[in-house]
Amino acid sequence: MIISTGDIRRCVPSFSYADTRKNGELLHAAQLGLTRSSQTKRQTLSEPRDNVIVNAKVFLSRHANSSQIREAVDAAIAEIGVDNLDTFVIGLPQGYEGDFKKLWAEMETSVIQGKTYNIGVSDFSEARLDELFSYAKVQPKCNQISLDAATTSMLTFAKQHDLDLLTHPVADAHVDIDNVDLGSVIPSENAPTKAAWAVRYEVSIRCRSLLATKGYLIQCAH
Amino acid sequence: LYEHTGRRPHASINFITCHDGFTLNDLVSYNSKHNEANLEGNNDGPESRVCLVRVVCSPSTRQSEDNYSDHTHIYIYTMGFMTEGSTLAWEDSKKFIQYVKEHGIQQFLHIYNEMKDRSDDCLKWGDEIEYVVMHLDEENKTARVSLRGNEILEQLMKEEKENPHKVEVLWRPEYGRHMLEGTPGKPYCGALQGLEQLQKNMTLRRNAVQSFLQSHERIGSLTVFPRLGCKECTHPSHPTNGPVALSDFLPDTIINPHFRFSTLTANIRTRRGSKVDINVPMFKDTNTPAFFEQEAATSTSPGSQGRPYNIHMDAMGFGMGCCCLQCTFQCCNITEARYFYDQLAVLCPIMLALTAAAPVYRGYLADIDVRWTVISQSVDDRTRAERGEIPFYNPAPGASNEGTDPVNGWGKQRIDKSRYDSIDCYISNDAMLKPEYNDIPLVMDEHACEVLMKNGVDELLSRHIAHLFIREPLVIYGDKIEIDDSQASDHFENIQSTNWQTVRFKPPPPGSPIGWRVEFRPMEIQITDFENAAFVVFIVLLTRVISSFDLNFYIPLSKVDENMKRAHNRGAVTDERFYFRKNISKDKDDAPGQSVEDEYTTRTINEIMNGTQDGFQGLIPLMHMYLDSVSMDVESRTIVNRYLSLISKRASGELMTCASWMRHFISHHPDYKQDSVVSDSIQYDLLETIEALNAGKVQIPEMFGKETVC
Repeated sequence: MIISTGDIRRCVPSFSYADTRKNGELLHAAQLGLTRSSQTKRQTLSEPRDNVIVNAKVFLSRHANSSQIREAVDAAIAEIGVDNLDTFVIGLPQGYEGDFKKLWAEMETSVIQGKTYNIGVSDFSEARLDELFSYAKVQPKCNQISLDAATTSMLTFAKQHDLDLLTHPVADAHVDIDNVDLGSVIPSENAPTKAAWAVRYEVSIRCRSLLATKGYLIQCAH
Repeated sequence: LYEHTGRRPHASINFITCHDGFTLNDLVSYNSKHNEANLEGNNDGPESRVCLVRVVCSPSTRQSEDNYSDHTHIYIYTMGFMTEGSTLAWEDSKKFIQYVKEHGIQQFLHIYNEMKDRSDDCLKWGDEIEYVVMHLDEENKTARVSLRGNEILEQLMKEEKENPHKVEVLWRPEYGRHMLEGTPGKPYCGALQGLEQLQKNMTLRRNAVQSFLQSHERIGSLTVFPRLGCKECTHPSHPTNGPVALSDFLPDTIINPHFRFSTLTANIRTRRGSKVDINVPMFKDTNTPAFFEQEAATSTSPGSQGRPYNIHMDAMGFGMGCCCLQCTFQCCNITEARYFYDQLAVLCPIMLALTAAAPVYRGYLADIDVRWTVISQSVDDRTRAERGEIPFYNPAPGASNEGTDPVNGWGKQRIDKSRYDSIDCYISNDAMLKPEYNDIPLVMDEHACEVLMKNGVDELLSRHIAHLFIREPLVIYGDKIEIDDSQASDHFENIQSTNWQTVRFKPPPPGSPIGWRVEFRPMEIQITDFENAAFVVFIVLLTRVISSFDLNFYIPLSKVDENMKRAHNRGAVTDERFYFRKNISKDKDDAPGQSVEDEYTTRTINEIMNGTQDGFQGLIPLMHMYLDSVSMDVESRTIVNRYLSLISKRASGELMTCASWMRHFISHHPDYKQDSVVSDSIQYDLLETIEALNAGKVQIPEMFGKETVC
């Protein structure tokens, strides 16, 4: 089962900005997804596709596999109601030791299949980026980092490789998919308590710098 | 015409000249021939017999003025002979009031019908910064406002004329001859990229002016020049009590020489029937005497009666000689513009208190920290009858008007506010606007309202425009009265631009690509570009946050006015509580049966900006959440974070506002005698410190913490 929040742009003020609880943001999103009626969740894109920027980020666990990436992209596209994303970013737990090449190959496939224009990474060091650049057939368009990591060295590196350095919310550092406890938000007994992956998507209106849609998809697991 | 046998009808036609090359300016500038340009040593041509005609338009004091040798503004009392740029004195304006108003409404209707369905306009925005040019005397430790301001302006504007497409900064005249206004050459687009351009452009402006300054001259972005109105406050110095402003403190030469400004000054004064009467409470320090000797002379002004600690000012220059920080942004359509207008109106008192930078007037420490009320009183053209002091002068046929006054009794209805003040009505058609929020009795031009509604404008917007149109046009250009209402909007703009409100709803000019805009006007100008950029960015981002999260700040407008009063108080940013809506998210429904009074509470600026423990997010955290949700590059985000950090700390009191710091500086200065007097030496040191701050030579950690401002 996938918990979807629908567009919770208006609910953002109810999130806590400086939420440092582990998975605080995701759990809050899950709660909204479960309590909001399907009617409020139904969403259609009110602006022409050209006028908006559609971005999504998938949060994976230590046991991430490439099919999850495919599921996440497809789910995001279907949920938002578009044919493709502008940028799709992959988020992995700190110290991830799995086969990243395989995951990146799946990211590249989504570009080749036209499901997203660009792909990106998050919290990659210069060393990891260097390694990625060496084998990537489709280069990452962006690296999402915290402001602390925006050192002169990183800024120069990014310019040399035509890589966008973007910010991500402070709360992203506290996302830990392996330890999401859905039991705290789903009361019923046989319900799933874990998460396999989560997607956060944002649609913004290009020339007006306005957020048009924001939502989450959480793939549950037992 | 040269008939000598007696006056004939044609003698009433005033023959002036038929010689080519002789202009109206020449007519009023020279008493003898000046053919030097022909390079014959002025020996060619006959001696003319043209008399110098210099009459100052001042119906109450109709005297010719001959001491205008170094002035370039001259009134031409033309009596039907219209030239480009000739403005009418009040008595002559009066017969065109009705015409201008009627055609102003027609012009608005035309624009409204042409533009009301415009949509999808991009976010474009820009800022306006006003500067003071000063003349400093290091030896005597004095500072004066420099009347060379408009010369410098002309040089700056020359570059604009020569390279209109390359220009990165635009310059415009402001009321004071010592003032300059600079704006970006092109508007900025979007709110997320290139935000570092804003402060860079501001630096460009300062540098551009620097190249034209002489050795003793400085430029500063100061809300108020502390000793404006003290003896010899201008450089060069001129006598006070000139015929335009009749001020006991300011010379007429402080007014920018362009026709518009003197006409505005004289006509406000004439219409009102007396000099403007500006009074602000003086800060009472341990040695402040209850009545200064020099104040005794001015204690006869009505507004200063019975106020022992009072700073009295008597001219428009005290108000419009203040500098402000303004920003304008384009909305995607008229609906969005109307909503932003309302929402930002609520934030005006908050931003006024947060940017406080004006605690000194006429050389005295005041008990207020901001300039708003000073400007408001300085252009108050309401007659005594409009202010409710005497009955209206309404000569009905055969009726007696004994005791009433055609000048002071002029007008139609009581008006509660000066034409420079906070807004009196919300205008959005949003469902969140409850009728109870519009709880200020609205004074309107009823006829204008009827015409607007009959022609398809909804009631709320009609009332707003009709409210603007209670004001009479103060500056009418004689040659621009009959214009095409479908092509030009001069008459509408005449009234619109002389209603100076906290926010301004700006319709597009007819036939232009510009969309519906809102102008945010309450902020005080800050002493550094870093702060000015911070506050402008804050407002632009705030509009994005309001729209992105569907926020709602509505409270009754009477509470917004109460907030405006509180925003003036000394230390308001930390000490005052302001009415503020409890639930600002449209997502949460209000409790059923909740009354309007329960919708709002009072909060400190710190709570409003930084949030509370009980779940009120605060505007700055909301701004961070917005920025987190839209893709922003790290460089822009770093800059914005610095700006938001500054504002957050000013709100919490961790850092001082400019007003607080100025008070601190003054009261700790060795020459200060605890008597509220800001002497020449104190002012000089204050201005030099600000100059050094901008040059990177000193730091003011009380205002900036560890932040570097240049």
